Amino acid sequence: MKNSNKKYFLNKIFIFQTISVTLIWVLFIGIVLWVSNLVHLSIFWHDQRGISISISLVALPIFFTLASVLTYVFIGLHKEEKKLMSKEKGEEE
Amino acid sequence: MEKDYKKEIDYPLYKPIYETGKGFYIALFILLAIAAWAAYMYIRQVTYGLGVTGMNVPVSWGFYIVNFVFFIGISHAGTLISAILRLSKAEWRRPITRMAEVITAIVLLIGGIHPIIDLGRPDRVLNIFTAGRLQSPLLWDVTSITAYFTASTVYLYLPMIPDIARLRDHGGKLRWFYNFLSWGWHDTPRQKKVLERAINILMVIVIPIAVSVHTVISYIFSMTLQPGWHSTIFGPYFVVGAIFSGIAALIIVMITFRKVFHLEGYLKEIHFRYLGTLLLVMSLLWFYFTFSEYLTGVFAAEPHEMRTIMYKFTGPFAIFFWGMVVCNFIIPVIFLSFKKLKKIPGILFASITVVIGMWLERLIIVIPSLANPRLPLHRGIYIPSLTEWSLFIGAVALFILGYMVFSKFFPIISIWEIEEGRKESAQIVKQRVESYMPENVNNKI
Repeated sequence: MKNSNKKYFLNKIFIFQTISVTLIWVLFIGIVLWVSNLVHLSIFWHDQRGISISISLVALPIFFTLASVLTYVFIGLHKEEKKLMSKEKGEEE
Repeated sequence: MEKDYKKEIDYPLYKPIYETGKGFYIALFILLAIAAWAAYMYIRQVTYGLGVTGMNVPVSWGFYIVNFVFFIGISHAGTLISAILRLSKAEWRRPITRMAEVITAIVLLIGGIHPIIDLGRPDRVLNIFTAGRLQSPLLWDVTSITAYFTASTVYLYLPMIPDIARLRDHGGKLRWFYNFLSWGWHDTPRQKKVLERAINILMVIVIPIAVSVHTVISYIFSMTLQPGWHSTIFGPYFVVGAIFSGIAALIIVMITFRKVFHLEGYLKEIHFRYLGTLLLVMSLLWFYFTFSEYLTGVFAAEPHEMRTIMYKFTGPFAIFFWGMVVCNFIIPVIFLSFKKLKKIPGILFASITVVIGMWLERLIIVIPSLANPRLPLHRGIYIPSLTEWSLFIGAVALFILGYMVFSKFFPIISIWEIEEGRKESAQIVKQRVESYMPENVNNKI
């Protein structure tokens, strides 16, 4: 593969990877909105608000931690790849 | 430059990905045919309603909920066992963890759709989003299973990255796919450190999530006042049962793959002996919980509770109850306690009986309590219909299919962990053992 082609290919892949990692945050935001809606409903109907709030307080940090771990790995691995690529480029020049 | 997989030391682990035999396509066709039949039966159920099942009044939960609890239980094979083995730095875990984690991801998906199958109107599942009640144990299930599935998938995926990068470097038609999934992995020390840190965090998070999932599943029963369900030990009882059936399922999968892909060099008899010992311990624990559960019920002799218990001990479900005791306790204890019987065929036999026994246990928990309600209703009877049997067999076929497809794209045994074990394990274990041992007092003097 030519260098320019390779770069184009890798850039395209990187865009798709970024989108896929964004999806976990979409899931997290979706769950936050869903849980907020349910808590709102329980307050509106005077329906055991305490339980609803405590369940959401347990569930949300789990999803947040998972999304953060995944993002941490994604950024960590790509940072290193970029370093390697710029090093390779420097050696070629 | 592309590498030739045939020159790799761990060639047998690449082989299933790059070489496909006739048997694979035959198995694929059969499994797809079974899945298609199950899909047809499900469409028929949606068209005609739940009348095509054996469910009735008062037995309003049948095979679907039994299978839901059973499959979610099997899922404990993976992430939980893998996390415990990683956390305890058990070196023999290396060829096992990936296989275990894959079971969790596939089985959770299959188990998770069962409550939707149980709905006569599957579109009503959307009510969870618009009008759910967070104080309902059913909704706790939705939340905890989603969390467990997300955690398990991440926990399966992250340790796969170095192996995916290896597949990328071997080239081929799917290079773009492996490139996409490898996240720019180049095996540098910094990348290793990042990945290791992430896996360590996940290990710690995953264990309480896994334990909570099956506890929460038990709550859909124990939060009610039904005889036989309203029990405080249901949470740990379900967790023990889940780990028990999970280990058995893992052993069956490992022995099958060992045979089919000739992985005798990786999955040695010692792995099965260790897992067999774990299975034996879980069998004893399961018996302890079962005994406690029924002893307290019989001792209190509350009339409704006794009616359910006698339904299991001597009534229509006696054959299933005593079958469960034989499968979950008597056979495993005999086959796993004696060295002569504790060989691979014996361990496989014990594992198969445990999986059957645990399925019977789920059946025994769900049906008799509904058939003997506390309310003044008539005593119920439940006979599963062809639709329910078809969907059950379809679910098992989907599990095998999922596992087969996974093994076609990814190594079923973690190659980088095996390599790491070969290079560093002996040294690391030596250092660790030395650090545990008391110092030689004479040297100090």
